[in-house]
Amino acid sequence: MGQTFQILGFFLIVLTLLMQWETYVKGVIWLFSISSFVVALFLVLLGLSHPGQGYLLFVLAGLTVSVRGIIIPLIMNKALRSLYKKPWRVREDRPMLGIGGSILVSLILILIGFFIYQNSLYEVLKIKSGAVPFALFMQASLLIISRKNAYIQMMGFLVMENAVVMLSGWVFSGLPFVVEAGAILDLLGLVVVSSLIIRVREEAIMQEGDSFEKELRG
Amino acid sequence: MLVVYSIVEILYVLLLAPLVAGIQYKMEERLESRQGPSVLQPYYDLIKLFGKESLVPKVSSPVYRLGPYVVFMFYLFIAIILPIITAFPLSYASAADFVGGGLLFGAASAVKKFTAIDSRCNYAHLGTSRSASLGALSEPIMVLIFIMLGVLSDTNNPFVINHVLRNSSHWYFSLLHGFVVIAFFIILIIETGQLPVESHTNGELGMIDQAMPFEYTGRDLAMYKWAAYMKSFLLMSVFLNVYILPFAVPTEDAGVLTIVVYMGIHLAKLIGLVLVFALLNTTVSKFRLYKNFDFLAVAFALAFLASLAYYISKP
Repeated sequence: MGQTFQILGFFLIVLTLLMQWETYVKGVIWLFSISSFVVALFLVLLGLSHPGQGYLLFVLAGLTVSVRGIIIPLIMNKALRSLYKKPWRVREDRPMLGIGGSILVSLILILIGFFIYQNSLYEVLKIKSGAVPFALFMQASLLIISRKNAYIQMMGFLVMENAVVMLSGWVFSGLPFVVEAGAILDLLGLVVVSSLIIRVREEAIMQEGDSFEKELRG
Repeated sequence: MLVVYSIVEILYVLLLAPLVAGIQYKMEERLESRQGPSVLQPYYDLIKLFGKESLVPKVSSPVYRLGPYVVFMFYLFIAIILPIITAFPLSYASAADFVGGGLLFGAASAVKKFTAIDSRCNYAHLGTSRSASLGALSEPIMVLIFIMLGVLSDTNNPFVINHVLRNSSHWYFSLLHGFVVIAFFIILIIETGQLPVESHTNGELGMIDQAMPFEYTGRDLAMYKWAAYMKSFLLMSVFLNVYILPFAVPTEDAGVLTIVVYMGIHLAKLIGLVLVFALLNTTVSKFRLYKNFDFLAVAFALAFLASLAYYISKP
């Protein structure tokens, strides 16, 4: 089972690397959706390996699929459609880092994540693979820092949340279910509110006659 | 007997390398609903070129003339040190390990670059410069991949790596192996000049390997082309026999018949791989030249993740 968890964890890292590679917002949204499904699969497997609290993890997996895997990407896509005539063409104009550069920086951050975990929580937990969510967390930070597009930055934040859910499931599997489920539902609210703010702000900017793409940069 | 097997292995690589290239060309044409050339076309091309005289630029040195023959000999030597038709070392296999084999590939590549520079042709220089830029990044990644396989098997011997992966489902289905396979596949695409890195056209904007032998003609060009077919054949064989499908390669207790049957199986594996390349070449568009380095960054990332996966999974 440990190896399956590692495969899923590294798959999430690869998906986040692909997000670094992807310049189109729609692509990043779909990659996030896939990564949420992976997190849900992880929770199901965790539930199967913890028969006592399995049903809570199954509920959490269901929530993860429905909220992060389906509803959030749908809302984001809807907001994109309402803001742009050609939503599939919305992309990062001039990324701060080139693709090769961002992948290399991402690898360095993964290494830093491993180093931090190794010298902090590992001493207590003695679970080597706990470093994977840490690495994911660092990658998500890079996604937020290195992109100027508000949507992609938001995706980076959601990936960060995925890393937290994974860490809590993997390393602190005894955490109360309500905390984890609460974090997910908070996220839903965050996305809805953010989409509305973006929409309202865009309308205000359009009324002033300025380019909204220029204004949406973080 | 090992000497006989070595000779058979050399002949197998020498004679079938153009056929595999021909099958790939045919597949690509068929995928685009065209009739395409015969699968034997590379043989016809080689025969035609061997029958023509070689023209040598006035300004070139003997390096230009000798280059294709030296490269050809390098690949012939590599053919007897890698597990192509047997999973046990043949007579000369102890001459070089995996890193040694990589260095021989690198040496052959360096000789090709010298010959291209010596031709004093602008196109050849352009190709050399591009090839060197890619090689400077792809070869360290290849070394990292070899190191990871070395970690997995505690050795640098491709025969031992084949043995470990064939007999250990733990390693075969490990993350380390998965990452290494994908990283090597990317390197294989670069080294064998497939899309999205290189297209088989003489378009100035994208050509790399096509540009290097631009001045070669006749017999010299035939040797150059034959060596290129062998290089692709050898790299694909390493990918199949060591990395992705190490199964069914005849072991020491296998008889002659088993080895002959395996040669057929190996050819089938190669056809499967060239089908994948043909699909790539007909469906994927070419990257702009500077984007190739992003592609290499992905290969590096995967090889790097392989080392982290090993670190996490080791007891």
